Amino acid sequence: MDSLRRSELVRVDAREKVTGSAVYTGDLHVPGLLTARILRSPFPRARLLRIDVSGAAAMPGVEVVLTGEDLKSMDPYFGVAMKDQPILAIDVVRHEGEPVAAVAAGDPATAEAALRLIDVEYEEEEPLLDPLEAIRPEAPLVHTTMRSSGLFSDLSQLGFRPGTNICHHYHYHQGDVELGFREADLVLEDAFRLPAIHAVPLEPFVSIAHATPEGVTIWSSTQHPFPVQKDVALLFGLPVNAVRVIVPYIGGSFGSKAYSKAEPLAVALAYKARKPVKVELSMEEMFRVITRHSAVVRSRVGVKLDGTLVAKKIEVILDTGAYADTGPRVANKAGYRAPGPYRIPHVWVDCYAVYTNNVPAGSYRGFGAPQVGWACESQMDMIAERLGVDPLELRRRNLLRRGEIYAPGKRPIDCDIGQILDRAAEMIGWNAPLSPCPPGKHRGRGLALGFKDGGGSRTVSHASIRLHADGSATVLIGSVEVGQGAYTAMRSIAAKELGLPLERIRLSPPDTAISPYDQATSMSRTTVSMGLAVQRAAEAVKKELVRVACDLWDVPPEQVRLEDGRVWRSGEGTPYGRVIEAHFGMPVGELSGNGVVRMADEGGVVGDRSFWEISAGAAEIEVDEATGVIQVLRYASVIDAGHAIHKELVEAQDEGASLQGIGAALFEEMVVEDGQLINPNLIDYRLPSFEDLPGEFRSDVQEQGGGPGPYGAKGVSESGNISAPPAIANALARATGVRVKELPLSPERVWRALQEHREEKAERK
Amino acid sequence: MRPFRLHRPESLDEAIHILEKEGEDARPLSGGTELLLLMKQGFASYGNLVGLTRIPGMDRLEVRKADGALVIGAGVTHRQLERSLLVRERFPLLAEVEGKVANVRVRNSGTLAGNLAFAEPHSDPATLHIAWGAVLCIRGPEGARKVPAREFWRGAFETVLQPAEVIESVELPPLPPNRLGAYSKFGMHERPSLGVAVFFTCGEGERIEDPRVAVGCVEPHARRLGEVETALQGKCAADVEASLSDIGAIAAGCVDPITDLHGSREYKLHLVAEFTARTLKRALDRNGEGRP
Amino acid sequence: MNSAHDVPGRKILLRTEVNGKACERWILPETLLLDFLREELGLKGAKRSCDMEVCGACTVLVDGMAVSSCTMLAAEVDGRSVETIEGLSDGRSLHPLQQAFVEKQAFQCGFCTSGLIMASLAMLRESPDPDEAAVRAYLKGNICRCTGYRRVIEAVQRAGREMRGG
Repeated sequence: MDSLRRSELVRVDAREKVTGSAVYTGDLHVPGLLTARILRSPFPRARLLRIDVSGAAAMPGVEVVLTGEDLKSMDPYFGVAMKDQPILAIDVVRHEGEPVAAVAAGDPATAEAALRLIDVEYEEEEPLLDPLEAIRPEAPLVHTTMRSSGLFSDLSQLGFRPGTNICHHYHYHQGDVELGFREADLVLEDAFRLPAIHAVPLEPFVSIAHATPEGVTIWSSTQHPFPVQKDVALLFGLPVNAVRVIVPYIGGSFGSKAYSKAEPLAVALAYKARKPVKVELSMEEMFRVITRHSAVVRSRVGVKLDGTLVAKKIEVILDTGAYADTGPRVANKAGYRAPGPYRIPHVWVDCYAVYTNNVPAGSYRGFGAPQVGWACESQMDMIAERLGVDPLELRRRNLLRRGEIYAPGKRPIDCDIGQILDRAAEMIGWNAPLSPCPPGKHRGRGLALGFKDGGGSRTVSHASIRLHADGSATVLIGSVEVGQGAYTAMRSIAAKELGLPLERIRLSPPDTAISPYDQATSMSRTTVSMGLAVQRAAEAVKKELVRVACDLWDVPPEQVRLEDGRVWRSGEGTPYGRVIEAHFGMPVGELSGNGVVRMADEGGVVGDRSFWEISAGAAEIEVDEATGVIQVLRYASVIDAGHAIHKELVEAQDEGASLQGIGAALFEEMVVEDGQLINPNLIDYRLPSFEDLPGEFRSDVQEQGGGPGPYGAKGVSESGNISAPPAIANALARATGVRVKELPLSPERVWRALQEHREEKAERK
Repeated sequence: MRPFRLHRPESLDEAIHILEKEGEDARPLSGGTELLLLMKQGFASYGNLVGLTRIPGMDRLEVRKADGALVIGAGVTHRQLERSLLVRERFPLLAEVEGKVANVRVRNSGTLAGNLAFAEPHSDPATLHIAWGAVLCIRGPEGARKVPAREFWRGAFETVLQPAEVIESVELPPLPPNRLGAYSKFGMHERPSLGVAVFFTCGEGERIEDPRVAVGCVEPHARRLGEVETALQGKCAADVEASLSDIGAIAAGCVDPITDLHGSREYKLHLVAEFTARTLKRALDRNGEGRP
Repeated sequence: MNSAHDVPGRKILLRTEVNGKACERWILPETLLLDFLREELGLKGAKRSCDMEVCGACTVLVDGMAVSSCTMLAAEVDGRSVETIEGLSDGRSLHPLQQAFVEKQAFQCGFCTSGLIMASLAMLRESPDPDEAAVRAYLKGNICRCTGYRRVIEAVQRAGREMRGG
């Protein structure tokens, strides 16, 4: 008998993952499978003059070589917002690492050897690497034409400016900022910077494609099987039902596996080879595919002497790199979230996503909020310091309360943020004296909020439930298990709604041929959107079951009740399976039900199922003055889940998010020199390790009940990532008097800042 | 990786013979933790790899009766040195530093000799061995020779090893009870950004004798800092303790680092000063507490 | 496999023991242990991730020692024993480490899990009652991007107690 104790929460994927039997895309084998390798541009900007693949094509074992030339009979551009990214470079390369050619062969060694035989002639051009340069009207263009993809309606008002490198411009204002600044007693203006970083899921991208005259089948490590299906259908002129995307378990994503990545190339290779092809990227290649936007955030804030915020004017410039990917949406969200969860009568926000010749930037945990949150929460502490007030107090004074409007027409604040904040302060011991630290070191505590809206808008999730003739059930959903525990949450919801034990419920993994449509596993939307869809599907199945039972027993529905896997009538319970068996006359057939949930339109409040995803992070740090090294001694994170389907899983996700935030705070940055990435690997790109886990590290999950999802649930897991960097920078400021406005807080940067501070103090004396 | 022939010679002579015969198209293979990575990445390619670790005698780890030196065969791994009771009791600083190399998996496979021969600038053992006064026993077609560690490295990934020469063993002289030492490493990345090793004898009247100070990772190869040693020679411990930052400044004046991923030149100079001071202090603090 | 480099006479004989079973195969010398396990033996638990010995997703045990199979020649295990995640449970009940990982929610996406469990196993065999500092120091060569590590430490310590008969 199984040693997994049934009484404890056991994830759906537990056994598979701890025994190494969980199947990921790279573990799959398809008969006749070829391996692909990609030749990538070494230059950030160049004209492609000539590609000679004859040597590679002639090599024994090489089945197909592909270049942009092969794609001229189709429109090979894709992209979720802008149709700007070619499957393989055509005429020009726009970033280091852009795919220029691809080879598929019988084994990896042959493919690699063939790649070395491809001869490419480039004409290098001066790359555009600084978004502050790229945004100028006279800057050379990264793209001479701009086309929107027309795929998602929230981007139908794409704010791109033809003739410039501005891929998207978001603007919002309320009140009159200039008036607000005049009314303010104190005005601060600061610029905050963050580098590009990488999500670094441990599983690199991998896609397998098989293309036949019947259609295309793709197995891929993707968060978005249905958008990929749509992209491939459009690109290759197929009806959607001729493209099948299957997603096994994926080894993390954190946004990097959003929308189409390696799939279109895999399909193009598969078509030409007439055999299945696996495109499997190395970790080094991952760094050249998609990153998190670097940003410069300029924030001007006006405040009264009593700490009341009056006005904020914010300009955000996001480097979206060579291709737009989800850049426009990130710009929308960054701009939308920039003011922070505070009551501010006068607000003016401009947020730009700018094309450069850097690696494309796209979705990343927090989606624009980490960038603006870094600025907002750092600046709040700077205000507190100028006014001589407690930063906790300053926030309390200005926090939007539950029910208050953040932006007109949008969902009001749906939780008590003060409760989240206060709990974090309590956990870190905000007012307790700091323990003494050795000479040459400084200790301090800092806190910050992580603020974003979640759930997305204008998206749709379908779910289906099949109730089998033996009373067991299968739930069909298109949500991807990225590690967050989606399958487990959905199974629990289905079990609860159907009144069946967990063991009687199975999930069918995402397969566009079988699973009903789900728009995305991102935006922290799954618990809400798919959770509600599963609830509705369960409703539908139960309704059908009741109908069948009533029909069978000739009783009205009021006399029948469903509980504990049985249909009850007059005190007698018949197991579901028996009812179905009786209905069909034999133990055959099944009952099924569907549910669909639409997340409301922008500007719609009624039926709006978005929610506020808010965290508070509190850090206690020790800084070594001589080296600039920051050690996070203790870290507390608090989030509100509305209602946690599984509290432990939510805590676990928040812990991961917080440590990822600590990584961004202290170590992570993609370093570029002359347009070349100099640290695109884990030897030179530092990820948090066991030794970076703070000595005390806790996540507290509140359940304030204000979520739109099942039982009051909200989505979670992105906000913890947002609060860590400003919390640590605030702790640094309180420990040393030094304010660092650029991430990461690397030892050298901190050391320099401490030096300058010391010199300034000496000068003033 | 490109195809190669894997040779598994049964003696060192046989290995050297193969290396000589195949010339530049052959390379010795120990744990492979550095060489195989280089080959996987396509930065190097050899038609022949000559396995050394299974040659009888390469796993030798013993104290030589004649002079008390620790003799470490070329097949001995970092982990073996880290865990060996013999090393922990009689050469504890070696065990300590070996235990800081990379991660446990690299230490399980990688050999000390392989590490020294590969000559990666961002590495710990070389710095320690130079300051310790280790001797590398080399064997080649011309026979055997010994090279003091301080003369072994020429540049990044460059040693005095001639074609077909291999390290047969590494010898560490024993440290008398009054010889103190310490090692510090610093870095935020997978490979260290700085290593400082300090040894000195605390002689009569608490005077510093025969100081050896080596700094690694900030230049193409680790080396001793003569000016620092001169500054320390003959000083009494108390004076050294009072002038640590001055000595650090001298150390910084000796080195010429470049700005790279590990830090700017200015920051590295500062770290050299800081960690020379810290390492000296740690060595001094062990006085009376036990040997390095 | 259709390889241009499959020149006759280049293959070498590998005799090893994997998860307690003797195993003999002819392999190309440049075959990496990770690929041998995954492709030749179908043991897909160990994963290729960083491919540079940093992350530990490829960790397997050779003669009981944790190694990076991504950067080790399969030939290296000739005459030696290899243990992978697949050998840990008997197919019916889980090993205490696996059990503990499940109960402590010490995994999420699972990609690092096989390597992490094997590294933990090697550690617990050497050091059956590790304190938190010892666990951190030993496992710091295994990267996890999902969990934040705290639960892994708890799982490993719990498994240690279980394995000691606690």
